[in-house]
Amino acid sequence: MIKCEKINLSFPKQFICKDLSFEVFAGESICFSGPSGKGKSSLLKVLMGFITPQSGNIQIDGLELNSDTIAAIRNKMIWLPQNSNLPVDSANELSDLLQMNAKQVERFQQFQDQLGVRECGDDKSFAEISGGQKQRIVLAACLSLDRSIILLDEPVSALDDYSIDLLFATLNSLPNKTIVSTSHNKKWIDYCNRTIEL
Amino acid sequence: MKEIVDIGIGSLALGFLLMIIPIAGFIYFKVKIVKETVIALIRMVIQLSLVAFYLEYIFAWNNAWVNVIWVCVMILVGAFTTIKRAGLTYRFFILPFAISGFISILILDAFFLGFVIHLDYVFDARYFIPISGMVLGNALNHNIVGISNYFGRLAKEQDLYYFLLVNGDSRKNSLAPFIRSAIKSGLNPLIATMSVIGLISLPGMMTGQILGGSSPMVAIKYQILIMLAIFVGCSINLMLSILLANRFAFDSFGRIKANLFKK
Repeated sequence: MIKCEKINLSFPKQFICKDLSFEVFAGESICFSGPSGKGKSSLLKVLMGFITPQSGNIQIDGLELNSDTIAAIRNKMIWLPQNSNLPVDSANELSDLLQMNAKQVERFQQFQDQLGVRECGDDKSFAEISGGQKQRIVLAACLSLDRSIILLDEPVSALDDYSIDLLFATLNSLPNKTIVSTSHNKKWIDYCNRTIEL
Repeated sequence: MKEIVDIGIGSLALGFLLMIIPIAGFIYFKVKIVKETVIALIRMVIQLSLVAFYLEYIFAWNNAWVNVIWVCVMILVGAFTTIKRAGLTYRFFILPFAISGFISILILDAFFLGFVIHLDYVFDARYFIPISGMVLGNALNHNIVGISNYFGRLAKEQDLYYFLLVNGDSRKNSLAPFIRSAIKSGLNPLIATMSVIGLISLPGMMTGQILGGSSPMVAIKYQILIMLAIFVGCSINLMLSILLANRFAFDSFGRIKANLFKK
């Protein structure tokens, strides 16, 4: 479970939130929604310990987020960054970088199948495929790590309706995953259990 | 042993005449490095003259403390130069880079001068200073390449670092691809040099020894040893610099500190 209490976050030229409190229960999916530049991605970065809010408490699976617990907390998470603009050339390189074991590599291929990008992952370098295909391969890699909390930053921004349906089917096949995402896509917002508007 | 032929000041000055050729080329091709070249030449002459002057005294004195202080000064200058050339800030990196230089020299001098060459007096200025200097000089070049690659890539590819920090299993593993790339880029030129040494290049130390009257066999043995020392020294220095710098370059959440780079 994720529990955030009275989060205050702002940057020198940008206000994000004041006294924001919310809870995400195990197995639930929520979405931070709102226009671009409102700080949706920043809130995900707060949960990963990349940004420290001015004040507020964050608890993840009973661990208070601080420098002593951050490694354990991150090991419960996977994160799909926005655009997945990673300097990686292929699915193989990605699995090497994540130091996947044999079981994870097998799951990586299964998720690529489910997300409709197996051929791209097997045969093509990332320079030859679209942003949406690359994003789905990166997501497949993350999902293969089999962690309980899934953070998705604009997961459908580069996907067509058919690919979005494949993504829903894939996520539905994973029991008891807690999903925290950002999006302003209506279809994605409808898919999530709850929305927090920024 | 034959006496080495001394070079007169006039002959030395004649050598500078050769510089007219590259400088004329720079002017012809409008390459704006004439000023830098002239300044570098002047600095080289002044620095080497001062070194010759100091070394005359240091060799005559041959005091262990003075020799150690001399080498420590070289280590510090090397650390400052690495930081400056890599575009980093002094306050985070001077300590790790100076400690890495010190440890690499300590290991190498103890091993090569003490165990391999079996010097009775390890701090003998004639061996301790030139060998430490040669190792440090080479380590400096390769450290600059490796460290620039490491922090340059971390700055440019932070998305990958943060992606691996969350999705990987440890901070150590999330830094691994950057460390591998830095070590490769820093040491590859040295591996290339070692593989062609003697074929298309005769190293300075060996040439100097032969000019000084040593037999080529003795000169080669020294050269092999010094190449080993240089390779080991550069490797230790680069790897330690990265490992120690990591302790200062990230905060307790593993985030890259914002002010590592000079503006």
